[in-house]
Amino acid sequence: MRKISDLFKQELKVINIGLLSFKESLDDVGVKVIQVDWRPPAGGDQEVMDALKKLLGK
Amino acid sequence: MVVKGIIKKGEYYDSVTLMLVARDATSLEGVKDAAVVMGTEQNKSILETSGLLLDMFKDASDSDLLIAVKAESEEAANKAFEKIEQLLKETRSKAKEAGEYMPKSLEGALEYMPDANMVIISVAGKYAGDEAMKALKHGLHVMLFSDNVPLDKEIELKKYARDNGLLVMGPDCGTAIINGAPLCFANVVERGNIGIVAASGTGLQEVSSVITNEGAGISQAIGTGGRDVKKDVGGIMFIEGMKALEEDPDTKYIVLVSKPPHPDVLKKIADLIKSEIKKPVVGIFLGGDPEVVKSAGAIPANTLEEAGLIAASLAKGKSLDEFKKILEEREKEILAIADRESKNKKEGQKYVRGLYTGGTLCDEAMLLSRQIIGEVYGNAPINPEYKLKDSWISQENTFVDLGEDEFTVGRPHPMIDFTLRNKKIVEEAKDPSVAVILLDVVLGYGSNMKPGEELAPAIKEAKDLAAKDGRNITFVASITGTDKDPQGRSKVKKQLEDVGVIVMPSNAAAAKLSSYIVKNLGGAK
Amino acid sequence: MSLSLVLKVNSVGDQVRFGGKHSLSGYFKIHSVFNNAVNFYIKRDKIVSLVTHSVGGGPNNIVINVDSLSFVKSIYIDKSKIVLNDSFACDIDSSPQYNSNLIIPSKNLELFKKGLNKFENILRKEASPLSAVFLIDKRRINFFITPFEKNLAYSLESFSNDILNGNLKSASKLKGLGFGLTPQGDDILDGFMIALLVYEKLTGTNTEEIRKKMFNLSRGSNIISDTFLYYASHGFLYERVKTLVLSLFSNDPIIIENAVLKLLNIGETSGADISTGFLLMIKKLMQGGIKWS
Repeated sequence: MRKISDLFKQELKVINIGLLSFKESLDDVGVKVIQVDWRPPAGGDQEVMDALKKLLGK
Repeated sequence: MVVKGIIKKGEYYDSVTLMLVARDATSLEGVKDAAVVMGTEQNKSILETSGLLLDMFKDASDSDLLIAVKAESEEAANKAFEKIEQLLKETRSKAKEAGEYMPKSLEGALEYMPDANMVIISVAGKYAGDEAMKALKHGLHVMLFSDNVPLDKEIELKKYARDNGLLVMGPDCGTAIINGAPLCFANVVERGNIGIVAASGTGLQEVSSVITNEGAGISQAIGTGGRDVKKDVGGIMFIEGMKALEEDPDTKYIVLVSKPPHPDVLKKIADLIKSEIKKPVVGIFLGGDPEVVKSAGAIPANTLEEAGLIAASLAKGKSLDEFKKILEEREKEILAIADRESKNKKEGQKYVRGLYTGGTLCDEAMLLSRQIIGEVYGNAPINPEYKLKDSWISQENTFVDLGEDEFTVGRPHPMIDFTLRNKKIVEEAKDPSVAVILLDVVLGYGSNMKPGEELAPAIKEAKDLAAKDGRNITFVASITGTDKDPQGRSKVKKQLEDVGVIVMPSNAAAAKLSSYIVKNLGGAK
Repeated sequence: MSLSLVLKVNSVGDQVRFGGKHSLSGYFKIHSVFNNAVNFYIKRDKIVSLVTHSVGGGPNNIVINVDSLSFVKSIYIDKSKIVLNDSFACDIDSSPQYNSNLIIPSKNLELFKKGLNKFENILRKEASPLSAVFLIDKRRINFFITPFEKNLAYSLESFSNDILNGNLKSASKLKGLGFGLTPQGDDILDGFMIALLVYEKLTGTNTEEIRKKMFNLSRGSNIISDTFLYYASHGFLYERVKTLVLSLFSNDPIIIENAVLKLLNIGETSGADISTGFLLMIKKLMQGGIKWS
């Protein structure tokens, strides 16, 4: 089974979801990191509109 | 006074960029005001009111960008222009750089970096939990910076993580150091053999910085988020973190940092120390009873500084007695400075005003101070009866945490944006009953990059203001951070000392010094 | 012309008209390029915007299903399609139309007021410090620091109040006030007009004349701003605004929150500035109306 302490033996490789500055500071200290261009999930406006329609009984 | 201007055609920026560029230029020495705006008639009229309207602007159109600077000298104005041009250019190139490959999802990122092992999540709380669960299901450790993650989600995540040998740091975990890498708001510390588990972000920063400044180092520093040690979550990650450090061959000593855990959680920690942990454990449960720590089988510390010092002493092969001597020496020094600073005060100057950016540091300072000078006021005081009626108005001995929601509405955290605290510094200096102003300065990634430059002018203004009234205010500060931090502790220390600030080696020392001065002056309850 | 790629068009605004008898074709002049939008002229004083899916629909928006448009260097239009950089074709003929008309789902004022309260609370909490939200939350005035910023804030406040007190002429003074491509003053005016429209739909009070007067007073040479003010004055709403207005009738805090946050995402302060104008005006109208002079 995997253990938390195994992480301490590996090279840290990071996926950053959110604030870009967290990626930049890791870049600065030479940690491998990739930024995800994250957006609120599925649909967005459409999702809101669908929920609205349902609520308003249409 | 000179007013100079430039017109640029066909360049469009969003409004915040322009405001911040102008603001940065205004902060330069000798610059009185600056504006970077589109050349609408209405903006021209404000330029006029502000004494920034130049003849050359009169024919500019709505779509021209006007840059105006008012400065004490030609030279200062030119410097401001250079700065503005440079900042605008940076904005442009940053927008272009954004062209580098960015996957749209965690899955996309994993295709690109299949051997990733850690995900940092800082999106809005209501989405963060789901992203974290997705990461865990992919076998990734998680640092959850976001707050407002529902409690049941936190418990679900942590149970899953525990059952699958994964870390979940957070939610609301501001800092961690994994394999030497500072994550989010962390300091650049020396690597070493001391491991930390912390349910308090700034607490972790203070302890890891003290350890580094003492010449020892950190193996891993695991943050759990403050809610982990409460009853509902039951310390799941605190316990798993301790186990992981016990298993880690590079960790020789373990430091626990937290506010007092729930008794159930405390019992679990004590049981674990007795049954499984072979390594020496140092514990600081801020505001808790040291005896409880002792009974749990750990070495108790009274302050964050002490926790760091004990661990560093152990790591350097010193005995606890030697450590106690160091502490006694420090205490003597503090008393000596307090006596010196109590002598130059005017009649009526007797109170301390603590203006804090770090919540845990503010708590620690209040806990120490009330032992010396009795109850203190605050926006989040230890004793609820001493809550300020208006958080913006201090009374007697007051400690405010400027990181509380009431101050941060719509603005960056005070560790990043000094505007508010600088204003408070000057305000407090106007109060003739103030003898000491106490500050914390937190360095590291994520914090303000130029704390010395930004604090010094406000402190100088405050001192001058008091001096006009024949008063001398003692400024006491602590700097949480190291020389390896991008800001550089020594550099910041020198900048503060140059404007007459007494910089203490820790928050605890700074709080004690301030309180002893108040006590000498008769400001204690 | 060799076309290497076809981009999907999610929607074309109901006010976008290239075709018909006077169909336009040829290369069009680009006004400005941003990551999420490319604005181009279809007449000397008319702008159409190509936008990414994250921006959403609008009366003059063509929503392209891409994440970024910063690559756009040329726009060619040929009756049924738009061609970007001579290589990416977007079929606009068969794509769905975005309907910018507002039809409100209910005239229940109590429900609507509840929605407004929620809206205001989120705005106070989430809006950018440099936005016009200080007009609603006075503590925020502290965010304005330099002398120029303070003068600007003062002017925004006094001209907004003028208009709210019925002095329509001040629209010409509010317009163009502030930073950026769509200055704060323009966005506040936009919010004012949207509020007038919603009030009309709620109560049946005709506000068309006021909206159109307001627009005429505020016309200038900023074509981007003039374009969106024109649409607001004629009652054509952008998708994010429309979604927000509809959400206010939902009686569901999560729906409202999502809609407000989406609106706040427009520009750095634009969404917050529009929201501020909207709230100030709708509250004033609902408290007994405004006597226009």
